[in-house]
Amino acid sequence: MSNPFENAEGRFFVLVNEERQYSLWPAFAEVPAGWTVVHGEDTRDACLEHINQNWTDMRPKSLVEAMSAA
Amino acid sequence: MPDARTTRLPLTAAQSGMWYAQRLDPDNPIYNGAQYLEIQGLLDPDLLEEALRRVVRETDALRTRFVEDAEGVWQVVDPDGTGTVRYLDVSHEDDPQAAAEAWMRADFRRPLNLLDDELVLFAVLETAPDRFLWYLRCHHIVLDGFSGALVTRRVAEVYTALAAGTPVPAAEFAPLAELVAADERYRASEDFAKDKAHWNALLADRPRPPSLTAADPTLPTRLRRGTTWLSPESTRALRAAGDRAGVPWPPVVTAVLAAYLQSLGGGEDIVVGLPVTGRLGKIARATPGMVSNVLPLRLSVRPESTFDALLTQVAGAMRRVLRHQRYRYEDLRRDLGLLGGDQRLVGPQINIMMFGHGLTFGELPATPHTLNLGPVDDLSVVVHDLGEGQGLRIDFEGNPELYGEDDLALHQRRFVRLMESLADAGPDRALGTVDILLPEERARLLPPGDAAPAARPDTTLTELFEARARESAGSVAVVCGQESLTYGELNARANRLARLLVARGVGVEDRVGLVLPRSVDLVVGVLAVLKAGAVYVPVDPGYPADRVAYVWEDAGPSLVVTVAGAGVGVPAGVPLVVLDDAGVTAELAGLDGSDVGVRTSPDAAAYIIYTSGSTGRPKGVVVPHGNVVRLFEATDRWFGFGPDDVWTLFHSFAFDFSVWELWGALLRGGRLVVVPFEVSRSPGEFLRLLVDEGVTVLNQTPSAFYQLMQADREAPDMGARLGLRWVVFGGEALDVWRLEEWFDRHGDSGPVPVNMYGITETTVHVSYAALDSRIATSGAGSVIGVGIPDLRVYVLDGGLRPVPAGVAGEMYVGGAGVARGYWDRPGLTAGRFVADPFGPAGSRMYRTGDVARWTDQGVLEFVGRADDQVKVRGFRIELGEIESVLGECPGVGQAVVVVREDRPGDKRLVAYVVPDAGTEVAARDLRAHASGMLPDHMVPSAFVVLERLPLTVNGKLDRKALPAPESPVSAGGRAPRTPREEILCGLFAEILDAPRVGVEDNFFDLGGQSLLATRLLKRIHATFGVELTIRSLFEAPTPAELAVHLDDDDRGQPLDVLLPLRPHGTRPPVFCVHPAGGLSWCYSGLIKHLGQEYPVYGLQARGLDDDGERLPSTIAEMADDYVRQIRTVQPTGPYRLVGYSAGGVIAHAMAARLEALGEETDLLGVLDTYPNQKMPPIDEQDVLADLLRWVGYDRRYLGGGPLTHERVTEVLQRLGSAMATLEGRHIEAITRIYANNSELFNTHQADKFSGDILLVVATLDKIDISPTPATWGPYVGGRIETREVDRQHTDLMKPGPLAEIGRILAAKLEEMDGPGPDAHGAAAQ
Repeated sequence: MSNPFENAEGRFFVLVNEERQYSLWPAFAEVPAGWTVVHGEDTRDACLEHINQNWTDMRPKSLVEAMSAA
Repeated sequence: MPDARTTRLPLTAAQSGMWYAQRLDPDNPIYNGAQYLEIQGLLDPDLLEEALRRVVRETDALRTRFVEDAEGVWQVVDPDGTGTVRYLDVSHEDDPQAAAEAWMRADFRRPLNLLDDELVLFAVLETAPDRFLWYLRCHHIVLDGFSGALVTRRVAEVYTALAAGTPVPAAEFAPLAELVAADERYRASEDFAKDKAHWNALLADRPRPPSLTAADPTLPTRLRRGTTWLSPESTRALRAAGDRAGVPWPPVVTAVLAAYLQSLGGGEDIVVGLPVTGRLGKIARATPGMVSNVLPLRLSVRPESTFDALLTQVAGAMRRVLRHQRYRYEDLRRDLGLLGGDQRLVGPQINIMMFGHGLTFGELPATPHTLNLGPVDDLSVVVHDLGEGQGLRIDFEGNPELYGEDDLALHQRRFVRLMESLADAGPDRALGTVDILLPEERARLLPPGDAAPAARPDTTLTELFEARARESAGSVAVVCGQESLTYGELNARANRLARLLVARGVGVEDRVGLVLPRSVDLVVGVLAVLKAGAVYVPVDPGYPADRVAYVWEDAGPSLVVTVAGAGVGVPAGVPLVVLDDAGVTAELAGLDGSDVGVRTSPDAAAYIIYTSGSTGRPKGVVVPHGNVVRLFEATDRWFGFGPDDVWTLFHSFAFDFSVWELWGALLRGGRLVVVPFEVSRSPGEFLRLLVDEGVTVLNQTPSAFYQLMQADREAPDMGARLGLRWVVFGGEALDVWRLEEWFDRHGDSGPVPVNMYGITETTVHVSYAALDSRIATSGAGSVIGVGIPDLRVYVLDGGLRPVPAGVAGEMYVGGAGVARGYWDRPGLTAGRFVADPFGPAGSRMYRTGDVARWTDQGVLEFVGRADDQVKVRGFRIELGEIESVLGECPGVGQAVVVVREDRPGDKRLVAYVVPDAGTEVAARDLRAHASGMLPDHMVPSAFVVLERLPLTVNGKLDRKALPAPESPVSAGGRAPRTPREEILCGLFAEILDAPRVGVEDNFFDLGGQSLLATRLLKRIHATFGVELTIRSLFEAPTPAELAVHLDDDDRGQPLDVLLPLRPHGTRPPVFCVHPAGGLSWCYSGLIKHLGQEYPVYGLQARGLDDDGERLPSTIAEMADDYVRQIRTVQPTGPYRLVGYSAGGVIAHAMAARLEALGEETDLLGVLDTYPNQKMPPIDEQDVLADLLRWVGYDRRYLGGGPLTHERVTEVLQRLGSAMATLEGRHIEAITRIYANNSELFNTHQADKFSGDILLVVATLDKIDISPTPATWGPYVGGRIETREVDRQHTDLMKPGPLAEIGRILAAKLEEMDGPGPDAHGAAAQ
């Protein structure tokens, strides 16, 4: 069974939500509510590269804020 | 007296297929085509009858009957039609329409006998003075659907002329003889060969056909029908979509069906059935008869492609089908080796009715109604175009065995909905985003997206535990062997260690490595890390050093807690806390035991547990406190765990099942029994521990539980004392049926088994299914139940759309259990933890990679890993399917099938089997069992019997630890040069149980020992009739050397006319005559089945090795030559001759020649040959395909496109066939010899041979007017004895069929000569 996220030849977006969490997203599908396109559409590799470069702190934003407040 | 005007014609290929099918299933009325036209107005029934009689006179097919004689089946066109016209007035009935329908139904549901019954019936039913139904029923063998429309239109035309009193226009129908002749011409033409090549190439790597049901269809006797309509507006929009893409509308509806099948789990490579008229050319299109066909339409339907792109693709594919539409479906099945089996080639059919609408009888409008179109084994979607500006009528005709009324209605509604959605979707809309679910299905499958998420717990594991410790300070919290701690003691120890960690600088979100054996300290360590606000990273001391090193490298712990001698490397430069170090002990003793008071958020990480996927490096799953806390809250309503529960910590704390065990006890005040490693690996001891400690909650991987079940079976007294309340399964798929014996012993009132599917990434568990004996015996797959209430479980297709109940899709899990992600792997995390389109805004879901389906009852069933569907040699294979077949083999306890690639590029299936206790299973029996139940490509190439399956530290099946099969591996080397070498290689392989032995492989190097050597010598004796000693085997230990040893004098050259396959023996030899290609190596597979006392020789054509050699110009000349040859080794009779295919006719000619010379032939074995046949023209491609066929190799493995000599040689070499030594010039020679032989054969007039003949009939392809044994009658003076083998002609030289033929010949020889001296040797093999 082939999965749209695994399609090496597919086109993708990079999405980010309010917690600064990233998601790869196949370009053919509608972007879910609460997510913003920050990259793409682009190749799968390029999207992953973007994520690896930019998602440096993987803690949810609310936790980061809570921890720095504490 | 036959009427001189009658015409006797052969059947068309389509009719032959129909004849055969009906004869196989004589009581099945499904082949009766039936339709009626509803005519509104004052019809003149007499005039209609007159019109019908005229049309019958014009239409040969309507005057056709069938006869069968010694030569086969014929159709006879009578000069005067018998076409009866019935007239019925039902207008006085209460419900005239119902009465008319009942009458018609009764008629077309009556099976027809093709020889005796009237095959065509007309009726006029008057339902009201101004409403008539003209009914036409005729067997499909007479008219196909296209012809039905031709006839209908002509009748309307004639009636209209008669009614108007104008001259009747001349009929344009050609005689049936022309249609038959065109069919015959086609089958002998180059187009036929081209079509054949086209279809075989297209389907060489075909997928499993899509189906909307799980069951395999058999042809029903009637169909379930349902009708719906697509509105004129949507129809217009669909047509517009077609116009936009520049395609006519048939491809449009076909594309909708393909999209429908894809979205319902059919995969992306879809093959639908496309009924075609089978007619090319003017005559064919103007002649009623039966030549229609159904052909595979193969489409690639990808969720990201647009409808427009699909339309273009479908239109192109349909054009290609139409171009090659005369090639028969039955022929294609035969080419692909599907004949005789019930493997399907196509999925549901799309039948587009282009004709019959808008007819008038005079002024009266007529509406056509189809009643039965013909056989459908699964589902046919019949689309009627009601004309411009009208909608579409869509009939679903389904096999009632597969589709209930509700199923059919549901599919129809969804199909129409998909048509509407696609009609509305813009040209660029991706197919995968077009909605397929009905609104009520959507509501059932998807929890409402805006439902308030369960309140996130605002507490942590630490706080909850500390509260519990205060309440239950005096109760026992943890036990390990003799050691035990109360809640108060445990909390205090953990607090001291936490203080020490804080003192060493450990803080919130820091990773702390734990390397601890199963002990009380382990529990203390986990608690202490959390109390310090940090994240524990468990490392099992049993893990391999490289994995441990990897975890340290990846997690980057700020400190590691361990004990002396934990036996695991610790990271360099990282502070260590060694718990049993005297300094540390002293330091701890001096610290405060009260709660530390470090506050952390519920969103702070609690642990990082590493999981290894099937590919790539292990990855650390980061799980926050809140995820674990809510797990117990959300499942509490099912379990109600409390302080009286006793839990085991059975699993490694590096496996997240342990998270459930630890906190299930500690958050509820229960008692946790830490199971020492040795006990966890000894099911008997573990059973005792469960009894002694009074354990109430047992958590197990299925693999571990199957072993415990065995211990329970072996010690029923102990088992009876168990105090379990719950047995919770997790970690891998459970075979529910295997619990049946557990229920037999413990009943439904014993502990409740609960299957909980889960993954580390969603915090231990996802679903819940309480099992009972009914479920275990229902044969259900792995039921994993319903999702935990605060999770959202989706089963989605490749377009990320929810699939309807019953359809398998990939599982996605959203909600409160979703982990934070993979430690330090942003890209990987973003590709697995993805945006949830169905959940609250901004939420994520985890993509599990597991395949599941919803049942109609709203319960999840686990289907398998998405990547378990593997491809081996181009075939898609479900490993689980093979495992379940092996599981049914007697004596098999557990079976696992994996794909191994021990040598790069050499993927093969290997089965691992654990026998039931006290039984033994042999690889040979397993293979026989699997071969009997599975298609060849699914039979594992090796079977390994193990005492037990290796488990990982976590108790799951350890796939990597499965041993490579111990089959001796051939060194390769050159291929056998002669059939004899090849036979020896085969014997070596048989004795050594090796898949293959090369000609230069040494018997002893491959594991041969003296016992095996003795067996080999016996087999050599049985095969070649030569007795060798062990000593000679030492001197000549390879097949090549041994071949020289066998016969130094009469070895002959492999392309000689007389080829000694086994020159030794005490009885008269058996001479085997080559088939048309001239080579008789194919008979080498025969000799081991004939008694060793019979020498065996092959006769081969001249010109094989010397292209200058003159080829014979008559069969008689050839026979004369061969007779001289055989008399060099056997001067006088009686002779024994055998011939396959063309060889049968040559052998017959030889027998006749010998008779003329005064010699007797007392055995003339003819292998499926018949006199006066025509041989089809062949080319080099066919020769190459034949070579492959003889070694039993399925050419589909080589993919589409033409075969090349190199590729074929490579295969033959790999299979160890001597034919690999054939050079290009030999293939050319064979092709030339074949051409010559086929010319001789086609003009040969057989003489009479006065002896007996033994005819072996291959039954499987005798689908038609094939010659019968009786055709030998004029050429045989004695008896014609027949033996049947359920094989196809072209397969007879494959190893399996040859064995059958060998047994037939051996039995005949024994009947003639008495039993051989070693009757139990060869014959028994």
